Amino acid sequence: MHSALSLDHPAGQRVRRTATFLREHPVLSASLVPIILTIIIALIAPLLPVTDPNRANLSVRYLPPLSEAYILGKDRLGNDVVHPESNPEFFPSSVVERYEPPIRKHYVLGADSLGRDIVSRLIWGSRVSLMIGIFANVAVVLISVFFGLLAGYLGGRVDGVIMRLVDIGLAFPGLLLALLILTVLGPSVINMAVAVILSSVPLNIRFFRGQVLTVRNAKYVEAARLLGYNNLRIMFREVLPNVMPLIITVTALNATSFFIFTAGFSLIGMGLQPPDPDWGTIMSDGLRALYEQPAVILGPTILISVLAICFNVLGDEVQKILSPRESQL
Amino acid sequence: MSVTAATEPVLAVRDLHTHFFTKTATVRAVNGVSFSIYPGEIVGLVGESGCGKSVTAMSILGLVDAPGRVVNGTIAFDGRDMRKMSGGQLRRIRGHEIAMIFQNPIGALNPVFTVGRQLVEAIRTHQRVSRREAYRQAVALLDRVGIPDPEQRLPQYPHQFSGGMAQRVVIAMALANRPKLLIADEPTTALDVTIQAQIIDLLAELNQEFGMAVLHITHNMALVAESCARTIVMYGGKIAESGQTEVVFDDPKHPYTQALLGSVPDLDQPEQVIDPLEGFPPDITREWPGCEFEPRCSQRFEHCSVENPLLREVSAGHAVRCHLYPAAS
Amino acid sequence: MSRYIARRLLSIIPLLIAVSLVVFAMSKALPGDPVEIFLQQADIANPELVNAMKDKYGLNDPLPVQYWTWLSLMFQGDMGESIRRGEAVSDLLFRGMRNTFSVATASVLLVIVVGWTMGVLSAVVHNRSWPQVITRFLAQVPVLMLSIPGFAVAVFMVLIFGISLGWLPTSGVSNPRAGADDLIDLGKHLILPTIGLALASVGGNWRLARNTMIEVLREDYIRMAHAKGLPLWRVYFLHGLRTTLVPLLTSAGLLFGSLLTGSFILEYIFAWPGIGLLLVESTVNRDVPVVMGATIMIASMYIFLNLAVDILYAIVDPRVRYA
Repeated sequence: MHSALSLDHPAGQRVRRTATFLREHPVLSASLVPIILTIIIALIAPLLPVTDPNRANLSVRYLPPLSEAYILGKDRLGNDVVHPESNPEFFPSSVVERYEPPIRKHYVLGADSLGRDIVSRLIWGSRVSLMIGIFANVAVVLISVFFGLLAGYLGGRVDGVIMRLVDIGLAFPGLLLALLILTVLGPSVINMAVAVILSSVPLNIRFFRGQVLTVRNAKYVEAARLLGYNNLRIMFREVLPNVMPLIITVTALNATSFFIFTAGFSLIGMGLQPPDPDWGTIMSDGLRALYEQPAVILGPTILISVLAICFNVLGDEVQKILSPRESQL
Repeated sequence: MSVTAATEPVLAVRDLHTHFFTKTATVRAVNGVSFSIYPGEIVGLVGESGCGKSVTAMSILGLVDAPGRVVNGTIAFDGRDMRKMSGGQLRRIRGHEIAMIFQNPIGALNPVFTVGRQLVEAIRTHQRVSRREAYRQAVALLDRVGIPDPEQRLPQYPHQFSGGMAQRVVIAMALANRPKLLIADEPTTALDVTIQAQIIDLLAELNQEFGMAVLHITHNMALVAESCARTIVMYGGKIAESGQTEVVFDDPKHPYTQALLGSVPDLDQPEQVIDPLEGFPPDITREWPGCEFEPRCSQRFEHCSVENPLLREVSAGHAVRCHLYPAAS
Repeated sequence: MSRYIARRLLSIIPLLIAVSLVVFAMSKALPGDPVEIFLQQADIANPELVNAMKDKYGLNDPLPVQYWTWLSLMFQGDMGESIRRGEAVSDLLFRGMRNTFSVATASVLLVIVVGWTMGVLSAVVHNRSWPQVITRFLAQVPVLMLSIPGFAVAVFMVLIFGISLGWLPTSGVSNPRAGADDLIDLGKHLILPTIGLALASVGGNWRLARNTMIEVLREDYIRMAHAKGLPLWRVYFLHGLRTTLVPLLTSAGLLFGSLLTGSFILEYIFAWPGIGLLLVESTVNRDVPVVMGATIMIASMYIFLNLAVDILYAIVDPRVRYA
């Protein structure tokens, strides 16, 4: 009886505690909604009733948002023949295989330069950003914490070597290093992730090293040393747990910049290669049709902005919770 | 120095209330304080941290930071009510007729300006003198407060001064315009013990030499005994006891004063048991029905939790706010 | 002070060498042999010719020799020729730098004028306990500004001011019909790229100025300044602002450094022919000499600018100078 209670209790308590926490931080909760929604949509994209994001159809090229089209049938090459007006009676001669009745299709956000459905491209495109975001974040944190710990805790020659390398990395401003890496490796999703990781690792190592330095001289570390624990144990059992909370903040910050990096690289044609969709390539496509169909670029741009704001607000709120002093401002 | 009633007080504070209005509560930092300071007199204002002594000082100068506000009372300086003065009138008094020195001398000096520039600024704000004349005065002032090589020191920055030297600079700045009243808020707390004595001696000398009154705010009973003619003991935003220093120290009436004196080790009586005061300062976010000190008081009786005692004179110039002492007949 | 500067100058020499090594290694790691590509484009497939050309351009020398030749030529101002455009790389870089410089300068000015002013005002408003609505608003606007990525801002502005309203040009540095030194025309072309480039930093500096100033206004020396009877403007704008300026100047210096090195995404969107666009174009075209030249210039400029910021910091903050 007693054990049943204690088995049941903690989980329920955790849910309740999370709920209270979210209610006490409405701004944080609000910023989480779009982020979680995007993640869910990205995860279940294959299950959603949307068309193939790469399915081109020039007859609905630059179809405006909120319009519908009729798929009348197939032509000789097997492509859909679509009539963009609501006139299912009209049949071009190219139709060899006719649908009866014609399939009605909604283009909520319109179609792009190749007549692909922008909604389905946005949904499928979120997967790339998500993948890179998660993968790169995990990699950056692991690498940076490891080297930051080594440099900060061991000091001396190890610190010297690591930090000189970091300095070299930091000599290339902003995205330059990522661009160079992409140039050498060639554009692709994996390479973009590698470029993003390598270019943000130096800054992160420097950050974690700084944090380790402040922890290293703390009394409890000194005490552990006096107790005769070896360096490895102290590094991972004493120092690391105290740097841990910062990882949350860093992850939120990194998520924002990785997300913007990947979109930006795809936008200038150095990231994901067509026809695969991500939000940057959709923007890139829309950039060429600013006058013809501004709606193409509007969708991904708004989504990116909303998510960037949410990530930023989330990072801000987390930081406020972790260091309450500054939240008074 | 004994004070005759015929002299007009340089500062008369009557029924001062300064409250802080935070989101959740009203903090009654100063809650009905009245006292006078006569020309040339050194008055000690003592109490635990949070008892409202610093807020009293800031209230006198009209420098209470938001969300705090002086809500009631009069502050008469030289017979003029400072609470009715405009900002401009107040600024002509601050640093000119009433000067103030702070607990942390290095922090009280702006780190990016030279000491000379800050001294000259203090002089020229209130005196119409040339830069050269102000500089000459600054040299004389630094010399007077005991800083060697004043000419070399003036072009230096605050961080090049030790704590004791910096406090001398701050005192020089306060003296620049020969104020009638100097408010010294914990002037020695941040300093080494040996330096403390020097600063206290310096303040006493300057008091003699310039005839300025000093309001010495401190938590250190020993300092008060050493240098102040009169003592005011504050507790929970109110005055607990006040009177001539010898009287208060030789014959403390209020249980709080007794406890404070009991917790000062006496070197002449090494056998004496030090009796620290237990408990915590009162919750000043609510109005107490009874005496604020009642929860910690060793001599409390029923009436103490019902009625808030008034400050009553028990002998000439000696006043106590405690139910143990009904008004002297 | 001069010793400090000399020490810092010496410390960047190894860094510059390391950067040049990285760039050289990168050029060697690029897939494809430039000579073969060049000859392929000319439809010539002759192994002897390839070898002869490689000899001529020193591509058969051992790598250290090649590196040394490249480095010494660069010091003479010779960074080679663009494969694609046939122009001297240094000329291309110079032209790109000029355009990037104008938009970077305009952006930093915008950040200083709008960001700092609003930040300082927000802090004073906060300090004087104005109504919460106003203080909250002044605290939230910059966060919103700095959250939206620059290229998104750029797209929104192009759509609104360029296309819907038709007020401002959305690409290039000048109208072909305008004269070469038509400053009004240049100014019009500058507006949208400047805002796109600066908006996030305006928000960032606004927030930094506000938070720093609020902290500074809580310092004892501000109380002291009040207690000295100084007029309010002197307390806020001399004592308060002067210390607040220390981190602000650093931030503006770093911002200028990163803007001067070209924002390739924004330059791409606005077709602004700066160093960033040049880099992107030559990367896409595999124009190796231009990529190398641009990279080495951007990196060394960045190193020098960061050094300049450090020195500036030492000048404005006496605590660093004597440390």
